[in-house]
Amino acid sequence: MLPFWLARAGFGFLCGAVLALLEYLHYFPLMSPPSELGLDSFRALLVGYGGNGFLLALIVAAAERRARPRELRAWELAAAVVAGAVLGVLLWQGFTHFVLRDHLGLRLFTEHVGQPRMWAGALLYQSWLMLVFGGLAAAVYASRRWRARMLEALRSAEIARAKSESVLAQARLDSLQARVDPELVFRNLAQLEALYVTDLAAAERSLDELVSSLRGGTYMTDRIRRTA
Amino acid sequence: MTSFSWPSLWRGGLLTLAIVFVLSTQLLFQLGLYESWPLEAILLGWLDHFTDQLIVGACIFAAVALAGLVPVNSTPRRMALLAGAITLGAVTGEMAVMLRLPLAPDMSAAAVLAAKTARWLVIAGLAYAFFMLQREGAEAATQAHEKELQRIRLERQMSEARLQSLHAQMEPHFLFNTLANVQRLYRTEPERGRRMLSNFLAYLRAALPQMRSSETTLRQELELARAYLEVLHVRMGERLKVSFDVPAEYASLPFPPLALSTLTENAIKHGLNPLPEGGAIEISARVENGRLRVGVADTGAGLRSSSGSGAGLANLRARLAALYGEAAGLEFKANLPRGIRVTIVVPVEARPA
Repeated sequence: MLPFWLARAGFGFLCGAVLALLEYLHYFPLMSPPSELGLDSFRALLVGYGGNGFLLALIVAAAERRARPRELRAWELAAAVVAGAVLGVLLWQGFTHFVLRDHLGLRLFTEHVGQPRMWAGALLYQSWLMLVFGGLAAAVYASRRWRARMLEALRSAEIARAKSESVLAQARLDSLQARVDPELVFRNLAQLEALYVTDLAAAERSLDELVSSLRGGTYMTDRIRRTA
Repeated sequence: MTSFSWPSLWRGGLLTLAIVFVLSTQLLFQLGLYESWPLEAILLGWLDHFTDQLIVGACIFAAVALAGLVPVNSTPRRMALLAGAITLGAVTGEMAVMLRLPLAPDMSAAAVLAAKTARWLVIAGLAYAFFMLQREGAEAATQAHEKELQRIRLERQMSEARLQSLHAQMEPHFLFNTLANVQRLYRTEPERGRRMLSNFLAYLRAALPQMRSSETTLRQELELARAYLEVLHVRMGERLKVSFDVPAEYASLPFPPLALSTLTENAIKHGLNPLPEGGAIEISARVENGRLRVGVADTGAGLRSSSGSGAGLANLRARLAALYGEAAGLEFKANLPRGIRVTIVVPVEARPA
């Protein structure tokens, strides 16, 4: 139970951290002088995006849990990612603003205080980032599971095919063993018909032989010997 | 990275285009954008940004596609090659973009390139993973589907083999009976015995090809039934009357092998044989609504006493279903004034797979 949530949340945080790094690198050359964007800003980005990713992953994990034992469908996963991106950003920004700010002393959007439009813009931008990167990560994750399922299906289809192949071979053999060879009987009967005209007594003997050898299974075993 | 193919190149191009489009919308979500610029300028800027991203995306796509032509077998090497290709594509593309729109003089080109390349590495890496996983998954799904089809085909053959086996068990029974009759008649009435034998040979002659093939025509089936009934005619004499009502134009239609024989044997075994006075058998064929209907009617003991014939008919029904699916079937009707009429219905057009 715990490893499931921990793995998901940890993965979400890691993705957020990578995103924070990318954003930091992106803004670094835009600042003049660059030193203005110090380590403090990176920590703020890390807390912000790491938390967003963490919550996004938790919300998707909750959707996965709800759907169990079946897997999430593509649209369900997409809906979970959208909800997770938007809700995660809102919740985490509220949390950092109202709770974390006073404890960690980080500069978390203090510049937006009193500017609701800017704040809304910041939330929108973060939601976009979470949606695009979270969506890509979720697509890769879902594809991995889908591929695993398909490979499993292929494996079991192969096994089932091999099984019915062997059953078929057995059925064919059974069918051959059960069979009186019609060609052999046909040849004997044709000889018998000819004998009927020329030598009645010989024909009778031959017929008796044929019947008793059929009863004794000679024709069947012969057929098996020839086909086995 | 597997070998080159046009469809996967096309799909990869579409995926690149979609990702580039989504990435270009980042511009629309920039802080304070709508406060500072008129909408027209923003849309033009978006188009410009989209063009930039498209240039880089195309460079990366080309680099990755070319890298796909290099044969590499170990996973770490493949990852390194992929990372190299993405880096190369991203740096080339971003440099082209910088030529289009020079940076501000106080910005470090190296820092911008590094930041953008890192970003492209993440995005293109994820996209590539997504693409390959989807492709491998689809391949596995196709193969699984093929295997499933093969299994179904095998199972159909299996039911055929089982039926042949059952039929083969029925055959010796008929063979023994006939030979025993020939033996008996031969002692009392040699001429009838001889006739029976030659009729039986005619039956075997007609039956031999059918026993091997899986598709025959109605003509062959009718010949077989006729030969069989002639053998029995010698045995049953006046107790058996046979008539055929089959228009000549239907004779060449395909018909499942040994299906008619099953009905004929049943009609004799369960319909006429139990009756001391015997009866008549009529075999008829019609085409209605694109289906060939071949019926065997007897004036025998009727439905109640034929309940023992379940296995043969159930097998025939299963075999028809295996060959034609829903389109074929067996129909039972009381034959007036007495007896039963069993009809095989098969589609005229569809050939058994």
